[in-house]
Amino acid sequence: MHIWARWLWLVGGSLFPVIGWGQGGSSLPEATDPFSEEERLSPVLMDPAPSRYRLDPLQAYADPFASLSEFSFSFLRYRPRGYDFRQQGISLNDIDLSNEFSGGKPWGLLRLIYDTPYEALHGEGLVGDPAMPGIWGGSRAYLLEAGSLPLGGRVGWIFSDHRFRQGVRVNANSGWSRHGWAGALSASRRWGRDAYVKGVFADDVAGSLSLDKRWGERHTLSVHALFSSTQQGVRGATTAEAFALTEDPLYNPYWGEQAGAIRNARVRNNRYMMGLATWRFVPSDQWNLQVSAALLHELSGYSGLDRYGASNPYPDYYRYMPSYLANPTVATSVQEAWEAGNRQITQIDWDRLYEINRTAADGAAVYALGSDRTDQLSFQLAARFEARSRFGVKWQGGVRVRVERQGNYRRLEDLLGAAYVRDIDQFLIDDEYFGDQLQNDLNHPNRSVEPGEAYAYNYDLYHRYYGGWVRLETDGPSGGFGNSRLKGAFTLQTAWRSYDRLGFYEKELFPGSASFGPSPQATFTEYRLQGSLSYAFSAAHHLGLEVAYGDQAPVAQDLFLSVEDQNRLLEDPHPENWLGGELRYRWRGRWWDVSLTGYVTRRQGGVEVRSYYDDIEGAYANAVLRGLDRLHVGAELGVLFTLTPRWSLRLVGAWTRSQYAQDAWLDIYDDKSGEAIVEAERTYLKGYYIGGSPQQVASGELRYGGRMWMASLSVNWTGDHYVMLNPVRRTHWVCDKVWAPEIRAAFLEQERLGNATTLDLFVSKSFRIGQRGYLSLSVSVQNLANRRTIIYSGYEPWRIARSGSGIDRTFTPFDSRYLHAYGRTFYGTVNYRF
Amino acid sequence: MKRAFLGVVLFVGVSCSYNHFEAPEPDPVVLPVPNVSLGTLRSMYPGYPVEIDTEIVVSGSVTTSDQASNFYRSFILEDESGAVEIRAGLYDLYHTYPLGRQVVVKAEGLTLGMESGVLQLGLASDRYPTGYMEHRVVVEQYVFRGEALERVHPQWLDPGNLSDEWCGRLVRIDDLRLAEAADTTWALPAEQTVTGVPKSVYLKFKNGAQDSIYVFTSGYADFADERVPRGRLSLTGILMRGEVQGREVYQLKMRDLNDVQEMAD
Repeated sequence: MHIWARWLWLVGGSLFPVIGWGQGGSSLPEATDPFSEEERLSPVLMDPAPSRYRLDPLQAYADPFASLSEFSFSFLRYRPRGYDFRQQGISLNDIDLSNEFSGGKPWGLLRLIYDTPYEALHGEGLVGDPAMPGIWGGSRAYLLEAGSLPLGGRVGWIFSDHRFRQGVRVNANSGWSRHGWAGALSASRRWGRDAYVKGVFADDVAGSLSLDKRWGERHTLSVHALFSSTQQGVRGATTAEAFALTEDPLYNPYWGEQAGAIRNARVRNNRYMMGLATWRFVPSDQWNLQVSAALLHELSGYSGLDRYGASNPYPDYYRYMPSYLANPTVATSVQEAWEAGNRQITQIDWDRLYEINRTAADGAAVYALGSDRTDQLSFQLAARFEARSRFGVKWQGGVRVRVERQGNYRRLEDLLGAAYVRDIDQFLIDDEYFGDQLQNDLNHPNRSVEPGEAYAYNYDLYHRYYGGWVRLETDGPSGGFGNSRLKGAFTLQTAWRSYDRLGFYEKELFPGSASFGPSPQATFTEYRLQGSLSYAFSAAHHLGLEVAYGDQAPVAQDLFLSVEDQNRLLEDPHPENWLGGELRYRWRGRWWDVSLTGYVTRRQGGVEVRSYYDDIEGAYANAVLRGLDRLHVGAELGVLFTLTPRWSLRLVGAWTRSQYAQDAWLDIYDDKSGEAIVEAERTYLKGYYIGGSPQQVASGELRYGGRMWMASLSVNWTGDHYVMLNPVRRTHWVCDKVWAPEIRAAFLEQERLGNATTLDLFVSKSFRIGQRGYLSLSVSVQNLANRRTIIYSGYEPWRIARSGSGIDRTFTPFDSRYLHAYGRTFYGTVNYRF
Repeated sequence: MKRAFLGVVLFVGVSCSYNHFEAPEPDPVVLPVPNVSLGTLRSMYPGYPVEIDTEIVVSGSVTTSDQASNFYRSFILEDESGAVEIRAGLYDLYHTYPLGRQVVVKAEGLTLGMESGVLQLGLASDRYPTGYMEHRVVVEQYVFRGEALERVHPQWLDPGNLSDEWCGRLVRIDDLRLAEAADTTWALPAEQTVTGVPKSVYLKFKNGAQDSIYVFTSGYADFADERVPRGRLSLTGILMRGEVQGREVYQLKMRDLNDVQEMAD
């Protein structure tokens, strides 16, 4: 068979399972869950970690620390240097993929990119891509160019036991033809239920098509179309009590049985469609120009249960747990039910929800399944030039324009046996003061909502960004000043950014322009100044210093008070100020490669907005946390020893101190009246750790790399892992109402999670097939010792347990919620490259 | 070989649907058979709380609702002969035990008590005649929901002829007027009290024969801040005993404002 025919047959045959079935069913809408805020950003749901099975060459990474740390600590929630995910920049041909409304990333698209061997430029810490606006935690800049991929392709099959069960992926690249055309096709599909966590599943499909055309050696036009659709059933964090009662560290409270099937109430849906065009102009070795334009459409949804004047449907609600029950007889009965695995008690009782809806008066839903949905359309233009002057200076610079609109609404997906949902505020039904102001939209009062329709809230957010940057870098014969080994660079970024809201619902609580129509506009001027010096002791031995200073605007969700219901901007919003420095040492010898980095970063003036239920006031509230002052100090060490041509040893370690450098200030507003409950309340955060990621990590990997074999054994350790704390607890607002010293101590103490150690094994074997083909088999086993008590992440809920009344009223902290890491898991691939 | 490969491809092309569900069919309800009427159960009460140690099964229709928050964490069942309060200890009971719902209770193991003249079934308690069951695990060991929905019609009573046998039952009393001189609300919600804690209120009503009945309303009731009409009223509610200024009285406890009907003067 001719090579082209074989290629078409393989690609076509492999594409069938990819395109034959996409979504697993109707998307489910979303509902509020006071404990879901962390899960929203947790990578256990987003699956952002790049596959270690790409087998990237070591030199694709900036240094040994980056190459090993990127996936060695994926068994728990590791954020390098304690930064949030927003600080890690990701771009495709200079198109910034950050979601400026939420700070998230399009993980579905990224997984598609990870599966394709496009070149990626990694920058760690402050040494990130200067074109990326305001990124402080490194960057990964992907260069999509079909012509850069060699002729051939890959068909792969994936096997896993966690998050999904099977997958298939195919890449096919034409390489450059004689007429200056190049094409690349990529597609992947993953599906299946998690073998360990009930309710967790994945049903993903992704694909991309790239076409390049070049005219001579100067002009190249690349056009790319990317698509991904992901549906994931997720798991929820819960208390230690629930884990103990079920004896299952992977217990998931989000699912229940319905007609014998497992139904998860919390399902994420994401769909991305991106069109990207890049023009590259390289007239000479002295300068070049790249211009990219992209249109991105993102649809996302996250489902959950609504309730209208009814009891909480989730099984691990604190009032349902044995520890809450005062009567020991009752507590024992409930404990026995949990231990016996009674699914009507330990999981969502879907049958009961349907029963209640069926018998409800006039058919109005008591329970419903809704989803928080976003519909984002984004246009971005990015241009970059690079030029070398005859004065030994290299110039780089560029501009970026970004204009986008995000629609936000709640959509009804399943009536659960009811006839309709009445579009009223479910949180006001039992409210003694505002129970007569229930309308979500005064323009359509008491509207009956049917599946597929919006309800609860409906508004648009707009974001505009106009920025530019310039970088000067020494460009002498040795890369430094003239013939000197001293190199220097200076970067300036500046941008104007704006956010505003357009409300489509006139909320009865906030009538008129307070909720309906346009909001005021929040504008920010961002800038970043960065200077670097480095000295090359030799071509492979250098020391460098980076210093950066700048302002970074908040994301949209931290600018509005109760963004779902009101046009109300925070008073005097301003950017967060960053000051950082890094000292980098790198020494590559014949058989060693050492990198050592020390860094200090101070962030001041940050702001966060959180919605929660304030048990002191007994009201739904919005908390504005101002004046966040955070300090990140640490060191990162990476060492690669090439013991023999086949054996190598890699050791990495990072010591971090990510802490709150000063106290911050809280303003708490009643969600219904908008009135302040407390203002300028000091929250005593100084000295507490920024939780959610271990402060210390270490890993050692022994690797064998033969001609057709590869194997590695790694030991990974994490320590100093703290829960994400609740700042409301550390205020007089709370502590002045707590008399018992031991309870006050419980409010103030920040729980330190246990250290964790895992052992991972990876084996890969390749076979040559014919003249061009290779078949490779790989198996990876993580956590060989099957340690099942490792905590992936944990957080303090923002609620406080209240008991008694009057002078007998007492307050105690809510139990922290956790996710555990997986025990032993495996991941296998079979790839055929041709 | 090629066919096998194509077969695998076709198999892979059809994946399971993970997120599409049909509505479940209701499970058939099998109820225990009642063997004692509620009137007989009342006659078994010895005057103090006692644990039931025989196979007693009672049945009735739900006559109260906690939707308006005047009733709290319990509901009352009534049959032709009597009534009993089920001390479930749950919230938003009106969803699972709506008005008129047939309910069967296996009373063996529960404590039979009485408070305010109303017979009760609940758990043993040190502080109260009966304690709350507090969790559906316990409630569903004893209480079974039927499918039948049949509203109980209130028994018309004359306030001059009230007796304890009617306590706990749904009654209607006509021709009542507020005995208070000043206009008032049914109770005192939080914003109307000095302490900020809602306050329950007993309101005295009289009929044309000057026989009186008190109406008890919780400060937490949704209608606590509603003005009481001054004209002739027909009031429906659960009859109970109460105490006002040291005197034993009969009181009516309404479900919601639908229990208030204005009559022509």
